Amino acid sequence: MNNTLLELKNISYKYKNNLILNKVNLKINSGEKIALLGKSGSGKTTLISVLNGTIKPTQGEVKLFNKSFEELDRKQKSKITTIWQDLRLIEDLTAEQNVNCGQLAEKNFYFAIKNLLNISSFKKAHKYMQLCRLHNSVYDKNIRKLSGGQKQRVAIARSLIQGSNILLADEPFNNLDPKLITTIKKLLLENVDKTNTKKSPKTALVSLHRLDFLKDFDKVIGIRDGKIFFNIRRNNLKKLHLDKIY
Amino acid sequence: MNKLKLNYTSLSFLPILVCIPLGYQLINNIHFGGIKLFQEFLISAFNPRIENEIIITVINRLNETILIGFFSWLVSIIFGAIFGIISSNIFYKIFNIPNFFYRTIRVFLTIIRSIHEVVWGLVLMQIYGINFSIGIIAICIPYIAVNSKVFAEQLETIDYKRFESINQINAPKFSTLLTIVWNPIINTFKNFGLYRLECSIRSTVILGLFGIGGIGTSIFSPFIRVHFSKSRKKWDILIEAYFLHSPFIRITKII
Repeated sequence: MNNTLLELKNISYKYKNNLILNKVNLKINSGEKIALLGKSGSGKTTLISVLNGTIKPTQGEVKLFNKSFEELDRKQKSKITTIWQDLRLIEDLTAEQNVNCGQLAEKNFYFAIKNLLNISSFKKAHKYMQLCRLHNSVYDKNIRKLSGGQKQRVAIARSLIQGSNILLADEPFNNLDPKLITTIKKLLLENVDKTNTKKSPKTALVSLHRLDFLKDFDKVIGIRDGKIFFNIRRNNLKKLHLDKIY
Repeated sequence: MNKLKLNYTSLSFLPILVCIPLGYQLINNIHFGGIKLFQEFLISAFNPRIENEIIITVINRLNETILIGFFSWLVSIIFGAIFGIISSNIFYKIFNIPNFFYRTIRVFLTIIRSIHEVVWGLVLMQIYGINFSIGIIAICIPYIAVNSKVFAEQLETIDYKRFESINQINAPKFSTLLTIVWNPIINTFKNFGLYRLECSIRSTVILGLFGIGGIGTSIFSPFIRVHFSKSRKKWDILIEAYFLHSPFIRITKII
């Protein structure tokens, strides 16, 4: 269990003279489910962007599988999947085409063309959309025509279809009703494909605002003004900790 | 009464002042020397004498014009899209190519675009002589550069977050590129493509005036000699062809 997957060493990130992340050190071990807490603007999204390699830190080192991002090949990088707070779906495409985009890493160029021409197989996409409780009437709808909750689930389905074992999610339960949240939480934190026993356990770092969701996580990280204030096991979390970050 | 304030908004109307000397010049230099010629042209244009021989010639010339225009359009729109992609910043971000190449290709395309197709035609005619393909090449060269600018500008408007999200999936670079640029390219083609066909046909007519073929070549010799009476039958049909051609293009746009 003490097998480090992701590691941040002394990470700082500056944007327009503002220090967004300030000397952050973090280790994420295989199979850990970590909740990331913090106020809006505390640096949660930036931390996720640094962890998935979207943002290059101004200072420090990010390691995935004990290698820096530059040393990793494309297949290794694709082990991380991200659910963005603003979803980042492709607006001109249908829901099923968007979900299929999650398979681009493992498929060839021909698949990308077929997906854009709407002639590829959507069987796998439909399976994941079903898991996310998306009704089949929305499968071929343009993403612009979907509600906030439906878009949220399309983004989650796109992330799940990637089959990655490291999940980074930025407030993934926005726009979802309580019943759906239970289903989606289970999908995100457990391996969907139970038949694949070779798969390593799912590792997740999820940024949250709702404290009642914490019971599903092993660890809790509190961030404020770009600094990690605590990184503790969930059972040890006290009100004192929360007072520090909120 | 509101006072006239001198601010940036009012200053932006200053160029209108140019109209005053321009209008003065126009009124001062007016003369009716060419009015007889114009009358002759109008009478010839609206007094058709349709003869089989003339109709066949005009149809052949029209076919030539449309063929040159269509081929130039097809080549320039396809290569315009390709050059549009490689002159947009999204391409350089995906393939991690230094910005120097981005600027170089944009400068190169700006130079190509700044030279009119007639100039390209005249230059190419000196090298290859007058033939059908010169018309296509002369139109294609600047048109590829013009189209590439339009495509590139559309691609520059792509939300950077969309790029980040697809890039983060770590798909093969060409799959990432295609997925990101596909819809902006298709939408630009839909909105802009037929207009460029219209431009292409118009340029073919203009290049025809320089002997490359098509309708332009037909009207060139009587036009230069101002012998409307001799070319009367051709003018008749050409004017009609023009009026037919324009709605045709516009109707296809609507469809």
